[in-house]
Amino acid sequence: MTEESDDTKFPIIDDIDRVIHEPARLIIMSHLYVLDRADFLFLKRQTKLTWGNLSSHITKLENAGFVEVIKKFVDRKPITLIQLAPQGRTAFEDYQRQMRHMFKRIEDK
Amino acid sequence: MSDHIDLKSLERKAYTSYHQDGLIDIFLGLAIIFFGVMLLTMFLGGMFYIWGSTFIIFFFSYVGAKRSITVPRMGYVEFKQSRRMRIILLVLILLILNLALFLFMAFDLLTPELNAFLNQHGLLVIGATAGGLFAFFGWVVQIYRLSIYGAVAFLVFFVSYAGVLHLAIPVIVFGLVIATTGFVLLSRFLRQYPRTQSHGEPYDDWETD
Repeated sequence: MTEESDDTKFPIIDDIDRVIHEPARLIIMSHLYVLDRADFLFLKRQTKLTWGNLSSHITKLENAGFVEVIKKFVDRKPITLIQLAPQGRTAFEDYQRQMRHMFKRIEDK
Repeated sequence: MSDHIDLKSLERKAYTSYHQDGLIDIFLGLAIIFFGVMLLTMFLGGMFYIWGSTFIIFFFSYVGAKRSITVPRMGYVEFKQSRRMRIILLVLILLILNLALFLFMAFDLLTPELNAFLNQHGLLVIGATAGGLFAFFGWVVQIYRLSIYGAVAFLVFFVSYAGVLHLAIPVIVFGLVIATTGFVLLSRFLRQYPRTQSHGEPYDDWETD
C-alpha cells in the first residue's frame, strides 16, 4: 500500500474545533452568533434542547471561553443572559471557514 | 437537527417567533376599531390629538403586554443593533409623517389645487398611504402578514372611495379582522408556549440527560 498523497489527506479536520463541532453546541453557537444576547428560556425555545442539555452545553462553551454568562435585572427580575464572547465569535467564524474549505475539498475530489 | 444551518433564516426565525404572539395585531386592530368608531360618531374635532394620544397609550400597553405575556413564555432576547436600528428608523419615519400631516392640516399649508385633489380623491390617497405604510412596516420587521393588512387597508379605503359604504364601517371591519387574527395567534401562542416559573433560570421541568 502506497503512502497517501497530500491530496487525499484532510489535515484541516484536525484543526476543527471539537467544542463547536458537537451538534447541540453548534446550534447554540449559531443562535448566539446572530443574536446579541438571550436568556436560557429563549435559547431553550429556539434550540429545542432540554434544560439539562442546554445547561451542560453552555457550561462547556463557557469553560472554553466561547460564551459569557451575565446576570442582569430586567423589570426588577434577575435573569441570566448568555452572549457570545469575542473569542467565541472568532472561533465560530474560523469553524465556518474550515468547514467550507473541507467540504470544498471533498467536492473537488 | 438539520444538516444545514442558514444563519440569516435562523435569525429571522428567532425574530418572527418572538412576534407570533399576536399582540401587535391585537393592539393595531383595537386602535383601528377606535379610529373607526370615532369616524362613525363623527367625532372629528380634536381627532389628531385623540389619535396621537391613543397611539401612545396603545404603544405603552403593547410594551407592557409583551413583557408580561411574551417574555415569561418565550424568554428574553436582545436582537442585533442593526435590527433595532431598523425599528427606530421606522418609528422616526412614522413620527415625521405624522408631524408633517399635522402641520399641513393644522396650518392649512396645502395649495388650493392639492386641496381640491385631496377633497376629491383623499380617500384613495389615504388608502394608498396606509397600505404602503403597512407593507413597508411588514417588510422592515419581516412580519409579512402586515403586508397583507396593507392590501386590505387599501381595499377598505377604495370601497369607501367608490361610495359603497361609509368609511367607518370598512375601517371597523378591518380593525376587527386584524384584532381577531391577533387573538387567534395569541391563543395559539399561549398553548404552544406555557408559562414557566422563572424565565431566566432553568428551574422547572429540569431533567438530566
